[in-house]
Amino acid sequence: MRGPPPACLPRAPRPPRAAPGLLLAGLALASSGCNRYALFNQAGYEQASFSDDADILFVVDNSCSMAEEGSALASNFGTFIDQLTSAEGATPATETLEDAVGNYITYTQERGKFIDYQLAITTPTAGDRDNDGILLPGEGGTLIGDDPVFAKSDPDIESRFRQTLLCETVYFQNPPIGGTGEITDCSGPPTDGVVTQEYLDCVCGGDTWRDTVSGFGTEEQVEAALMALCRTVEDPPPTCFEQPSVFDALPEPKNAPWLRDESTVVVVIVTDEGDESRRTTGGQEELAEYVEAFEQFDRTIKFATIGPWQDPETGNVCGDGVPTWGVQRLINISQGSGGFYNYINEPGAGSDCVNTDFSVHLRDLGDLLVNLVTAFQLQSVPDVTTIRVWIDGEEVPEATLIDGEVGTPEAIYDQGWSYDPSQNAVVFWGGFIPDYNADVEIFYRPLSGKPRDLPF
Amino acid sequence: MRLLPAPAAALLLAASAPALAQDEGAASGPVDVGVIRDSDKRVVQKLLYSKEGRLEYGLAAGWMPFDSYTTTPLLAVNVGYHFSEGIGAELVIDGGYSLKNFTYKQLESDAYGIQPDAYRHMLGVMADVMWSPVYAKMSWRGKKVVHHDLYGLLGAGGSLEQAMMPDGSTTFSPGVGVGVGMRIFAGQSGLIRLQLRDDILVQSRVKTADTQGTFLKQNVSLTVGYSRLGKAK
Repeated sequence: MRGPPPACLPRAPRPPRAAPGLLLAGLALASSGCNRYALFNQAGYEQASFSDDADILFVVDNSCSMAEEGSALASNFGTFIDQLTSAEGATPATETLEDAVGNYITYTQERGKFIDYQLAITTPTAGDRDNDGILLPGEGGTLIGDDPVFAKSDPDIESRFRQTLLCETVYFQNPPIGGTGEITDCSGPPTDGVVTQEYLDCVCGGDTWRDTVSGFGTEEQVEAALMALCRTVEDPPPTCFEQPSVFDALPEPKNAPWLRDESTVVVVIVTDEGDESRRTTGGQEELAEYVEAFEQFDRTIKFATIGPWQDPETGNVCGDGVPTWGVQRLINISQGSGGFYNYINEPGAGSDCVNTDFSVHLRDLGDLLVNLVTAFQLQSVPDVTTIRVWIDGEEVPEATLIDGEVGTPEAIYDQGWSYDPSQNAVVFWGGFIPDYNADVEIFYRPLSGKPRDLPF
Repeated sequence: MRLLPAPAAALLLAASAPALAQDEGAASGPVDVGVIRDSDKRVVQKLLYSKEGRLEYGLAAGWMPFDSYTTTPLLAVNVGYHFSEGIGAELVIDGGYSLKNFTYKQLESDAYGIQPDAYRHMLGVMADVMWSPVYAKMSWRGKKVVHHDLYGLLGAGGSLEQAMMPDGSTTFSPGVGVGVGMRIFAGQSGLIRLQLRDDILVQSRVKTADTQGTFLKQNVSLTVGYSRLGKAK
């Protein structure tokens, strides 16, 4: 039998215990990977998205119910033109140094007047309505009009746009009779904003407006905008040829060159219906397929919608049979792209809907264009205290309020940047308004915490 | 000749060993071993590579690979002194430059547009106490015996770091460090050191001062270095 070891012999040393060491190392590695860092959203803008060229596509609903709204758009179009036109004309002269200095001051104060825009019109009928293999003007993203691109430099842009809208786009089933006899001067908007048969006869040079056909019952505003881009670019991206769009089967006709290099595209949807674009399953409120499709054009595309009123709480929509999800699609793509969604109508007395003031919508559209060069939209609502801004590597200071109230669109600042919650944008002021080729970087922490779903 | 039985042979061998020792002692004179207490007795009475009373100075290259958003190559110099075989102290100064790793680059791409408020490690200074409880030998492919020790360390110091976002704000972060390592002796004065250490820092970050200004940050590094041992005093 074995006894205890003799007392004079040292005890055999314990072998080193590997487990605690390994545990320590493992803990260290694991915890290092968990170092916590605040995540900032980064909004980076380069010249491509900072051009003063804006190519604007109006997608005008030409269904039976839209005659009144189409008339309102035509009647108020001057508001938009005035806002974006300088007193000296479309393009200010810069022949002398004095002109240049004067223009610089104007430029920094009224940059909207330096926006160089082009307009075109199509309809939400995104397919071949008659199914005869022929696309009529306005169908499948084709542009309307013999000369369908309206440039800012055109001296008669307002009357040409109005003429195309009233004579070839909007469907007037039974416009009111003015009872004023023949109208001979229709160079301006109609009296009292009411488009009468006499006014239409004058604008269109006869009753050709009666030839306009009503739009297809299924409105596909976003699909139509996609098709319009596909028909315009020289080398359409693969998304254009995907089914069930009509472009692969009917690639002709092409649109007139309406898009310019590095311009910002603004799609203005005017409708009293929701969107039922074909690539997205009916009932879905997100137009993910279209967001991805538009990304293939590699340019900034904003959506501004003048669409049906929707109760933000209940989802109820103004208009019979208008699907809630269709309206929500337009709201989502407009707000998600940095544009806006304005109500074309609103609840009136009883169950009726009344139209809203179109001059407000067109002024907002003008503001949107002006802001292309001074306001930089953020994707998430920021914690304002964390906003940091750099232009070409130099940090820009936060501007000081001079007039108005902080957080309102009327607020005016001195030099630097400010945050405008109404646009969810960083706005530049004074000498810090970035030049066209500036590299603008904006960092901020979103109020909601994590900026977005992370890839891990 | 008749062979002795095995038990008898073993008895003879046992009796001859002390006799041999006595013979050697008689040849070189008597040896006074004094009084040996139990506490003086060691399993290993003499180490082939001793550190006690020697300076250790060296250079190491390392890497901090475990951070979520950065990867950091670094170089370090160390100077230390071993008070005994088990206890020593050293000063470590390292310089590094954190780079954005794949995750960071993925986040800051156009697809995500996110910038982590990560800080770049630039300079570190740590004073450490080292405890080397293990001295061991191992066989290398059955051909060579490698002597090494295992040690743990505990230190304090700080790290100079810079924000990787464009503001480039710098911060000095104090902290403590823990680590484990191994010295592989390559001769009486040279050794190779492998080390894993974790510096736990308290870091102030200005951009989030309004919501959370102070963060715990861990710089975990793996280093490989070569050190020299000075002469024993």
